[in-house]
Amino acid sequence: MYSPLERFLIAAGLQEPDQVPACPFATGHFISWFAGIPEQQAVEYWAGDYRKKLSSQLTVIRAFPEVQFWPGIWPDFGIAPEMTAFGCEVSFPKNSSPAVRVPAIKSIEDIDKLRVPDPKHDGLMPLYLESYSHMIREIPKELRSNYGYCQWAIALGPTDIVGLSMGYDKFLVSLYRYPDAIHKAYKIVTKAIITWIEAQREVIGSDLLTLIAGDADCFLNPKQFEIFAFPYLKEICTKLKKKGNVVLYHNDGDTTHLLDKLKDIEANMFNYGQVGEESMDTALVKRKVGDKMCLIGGLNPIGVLLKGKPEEVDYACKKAIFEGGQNGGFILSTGGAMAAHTPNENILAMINAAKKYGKYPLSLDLVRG
Amino acid sequence: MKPTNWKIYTEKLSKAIVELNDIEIKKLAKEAIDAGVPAQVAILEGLAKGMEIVGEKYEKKEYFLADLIMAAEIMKDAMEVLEPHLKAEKVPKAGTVVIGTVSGDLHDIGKNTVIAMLRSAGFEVHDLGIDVPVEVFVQKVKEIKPHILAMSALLLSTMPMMKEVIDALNKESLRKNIKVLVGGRPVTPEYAKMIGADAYAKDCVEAVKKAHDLMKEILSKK
Repeated sequence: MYSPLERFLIAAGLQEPDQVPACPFATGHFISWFAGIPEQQAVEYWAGDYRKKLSSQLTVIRAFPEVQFWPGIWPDFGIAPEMTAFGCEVSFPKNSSPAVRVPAIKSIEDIDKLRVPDPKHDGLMPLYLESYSHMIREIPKELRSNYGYCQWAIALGPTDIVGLSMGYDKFLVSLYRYPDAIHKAYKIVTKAIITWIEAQREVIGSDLLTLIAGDADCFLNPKQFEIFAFPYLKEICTKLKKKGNVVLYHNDGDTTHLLDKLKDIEANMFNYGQVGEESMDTALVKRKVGDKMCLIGGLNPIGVLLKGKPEEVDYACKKAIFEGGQNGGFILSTGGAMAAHTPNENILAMINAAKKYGKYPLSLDLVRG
Repeated sequence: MKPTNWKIYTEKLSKAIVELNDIEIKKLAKEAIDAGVPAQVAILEGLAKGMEIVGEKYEKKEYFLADLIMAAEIMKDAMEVLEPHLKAEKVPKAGTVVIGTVSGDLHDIGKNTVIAMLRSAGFEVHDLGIDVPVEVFVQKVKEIKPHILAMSALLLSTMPMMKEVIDALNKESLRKNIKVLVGGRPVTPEYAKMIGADAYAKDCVEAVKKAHDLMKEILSKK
């Protein structure tokens, strides 16, 4: 019998554990709501101290002790640590997650002023690190060893940081007009991401699970992705993997057009996103990248997990396991973080479906139809 | 010049938009004006046509968000050349739209692409920006008296603000005078219906189609 973390790591290594792991993906939107914070006051969670975040996250993970949530327990400030460190003005709205109000780069010349932030001094990074060290001290040890909690280092991807630092409109136009300046920004941001992950490693003090959130890559066309994002993502993933990190690349948008290149970014795992109210095509993603990266996803967090009935969740899970689970390297999850109001019975339906249909060796008879 | 020869110039403009050729665009716009092509024709049969093709390519997943934003930027450049020449001409507008991202939501990429596409389709668009309070939406509807109020939300947590805006418009007896168009990642046609919006658009290309449909409804009732 494997622990949830063992199952997760076997799948991450492209192998078959005893069953397809089910790992719900939850961030502040779901966590704060589940912990009873009114949605119109979600800022109490996002801007709250580590105790608020820790107690909210513990409420969630204790409700579903069978499975490993990801990231689980961490100082969830959304995009704020990196973006404040890069000099953006970040707002904490009352009813939602932090967001950039004023980008740091106002003209293309400002790229020359970009510096790799010092995680010990810049923006909210020091508060994040301090909060993390408190959380690590306070959680029971078995939550780290059995579930991998407080072992995740998390960073925004290079395209997200460059894009948010400039504002996406300006960034996307600048890809055409100022390619050299954009490359310069990517280079600085790449160094910053590696430095930021290393600073988290110092606090965490062990081998790491690393989450790179690269949602904005889906805005790029395939050529732009290859020229701009790809080399930097590959550099980040390669360097982190060499240091023993298990790297999970997350993108909750539609990356179907990028799959041919994405497969070579050297991440261990790929949390693939959605097309409208459905997941991206799991069979296609498996075919294109499944021999290089463990797939984690298969369910649309809104169309299926929030709005579906338990039997619809069950069917979607069965389909995802059938398409993604062959030969291992698959974890059942949502392609983006779960939404507030996601019913408990749907989360349970997902957990039960992984047990019901995901036992290795997979029974084709069971999952067919 | 004869109108039949305008096509040479409008086709060049359209092609420059589709090929995302930002180097030539101002030159091509100037050439069209110098050759006697009315600015309105250059816009509608050149630039707007090009944007329409870009929209089709986006829907077919041949073009992506970055391409769409770039095409809109190139159109903006061309408009700098053509707009001063419009003053002398009477240009019919497709309609007037007030648009914003709802309170608590600071995301603007979706809204901005909708604005770009609406403008290229001839709509007069008033952008209220991001994190727009309910009362500002109401105030601007009173001031501008648009045909359409468009609202965007990226987050499930901010989406309910759309309903608050519609409720506030009802309260102020402004709702019957305008059409409401909503969109954004978590928004669905069912949700749009539930909160009392008139239309839902899944992306910027559909937003233009829906805006045209809403205008037809408005005009048919006049």
